[in-house]
Amino acid sequence: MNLLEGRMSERLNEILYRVAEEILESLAFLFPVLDEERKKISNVFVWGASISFGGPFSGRLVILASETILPDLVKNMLGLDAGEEVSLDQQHDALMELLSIVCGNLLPAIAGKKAMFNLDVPKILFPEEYDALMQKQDSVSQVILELENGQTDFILFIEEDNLSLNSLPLV
Amino acid sequence: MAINLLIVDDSSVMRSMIVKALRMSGIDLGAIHQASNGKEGLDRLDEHGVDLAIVDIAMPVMNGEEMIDCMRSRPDTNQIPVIVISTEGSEARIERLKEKGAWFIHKPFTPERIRDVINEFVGRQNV
Amino acid sequence: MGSCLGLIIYDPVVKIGGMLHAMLPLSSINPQKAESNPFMFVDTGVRLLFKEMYTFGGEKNRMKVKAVGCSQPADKNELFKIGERNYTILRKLLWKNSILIEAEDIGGTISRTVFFEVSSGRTVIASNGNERLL
Repeated sequence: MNLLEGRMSERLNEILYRVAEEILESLAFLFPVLDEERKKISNVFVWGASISFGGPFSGRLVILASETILPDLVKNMLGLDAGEEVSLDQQHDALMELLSIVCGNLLPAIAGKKAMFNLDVPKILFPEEYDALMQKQDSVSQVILELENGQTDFILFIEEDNLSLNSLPLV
Repeated sequence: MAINLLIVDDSSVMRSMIVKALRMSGIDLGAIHQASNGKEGLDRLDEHGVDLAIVDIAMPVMNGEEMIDCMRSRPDTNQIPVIVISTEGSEARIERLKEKGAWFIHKPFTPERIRDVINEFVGRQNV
Repeated sequence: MGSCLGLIIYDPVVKIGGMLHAMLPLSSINPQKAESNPFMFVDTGVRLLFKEMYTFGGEKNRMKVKAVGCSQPADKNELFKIGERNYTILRKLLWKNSILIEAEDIGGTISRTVFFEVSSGRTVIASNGNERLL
């Protein structure tokens, strides 16, 4: 990675962290802490989801989350008591909706409100799929967030390689 | 008078959140119908009369904007008010939706925002 | 208050009002302190305030809720974001209990003083020499 690419990646990391933090707090009342020292989440006891987008640039945003945080995610979004049971379907649904809302807020934060993007429908990723994804593509941005009961990693892939720094708004 | 609603979003968790916020708003709620995409939403409209449709944009099969265009092209549904609840961030697309007569609520929303828009809707109905 | 949360609850029918001034979001960081002073924390303080209101005849569906404070330091480099988190925990509790906020003056970098008149429910915020009705 050259100096320019490094600066762009750093700027994108800042934006991605800011948006992810804001959405986790306002949607799910969870307090993430940026953990630059922590390793990428291992694929044991993890669920992932992916959402593709197109527009001025295309790519996808991936979330990998410890399975331990998903029940809290659902309960907080629905305003349920701690002791209530939630199904795996609800957990997957909440994870995909979280990803969708982060992506929808992230893209204008990167490209400005005049840009028009089309978001695909999010889908759940299985461990073999995200292993393959990580091997196939280089991410342009990655943030690791520590939560009370686990970890979430957000990883941004962009297909065009001419995303210039000039198009990024100030953080 | 009780308001009959249709909520269209591919996330059932989000649909439940919207229902909860609507109940908190204090309006007189009648039947609440739900659908997970625009095509299903149009099917629900064929089956039930509603006073208000609350619609997401990014959905499989048929998206929310396509659904609104279909509603506006049909005499039996073109007068149904629409609230869009979406992560849409493009100023041009939001303006386009408003020109089609929709209110717009950005995700993530607060229940107070839902209350304010619903009260505006009820106020217009009473005029 | 600066980063602290100020919460005002009022039942206009029975004219019962309560105020909370909470400093920190979660009692789990110091359970012993929470035992002796639950009003120091948003999660325990808000619950207790509502409970007290019910004891005096207040009813949930009549309550007017106003929130003030939760600001952050001017240099915006606060590590723990106490003000924001106080507000987030309040929102979490109110959402869980299906309670709306009627009015709020939250965030920014200013500190505020709240005056609350129980006979009328009138709430005034004073900040930087200015006063306004909330």
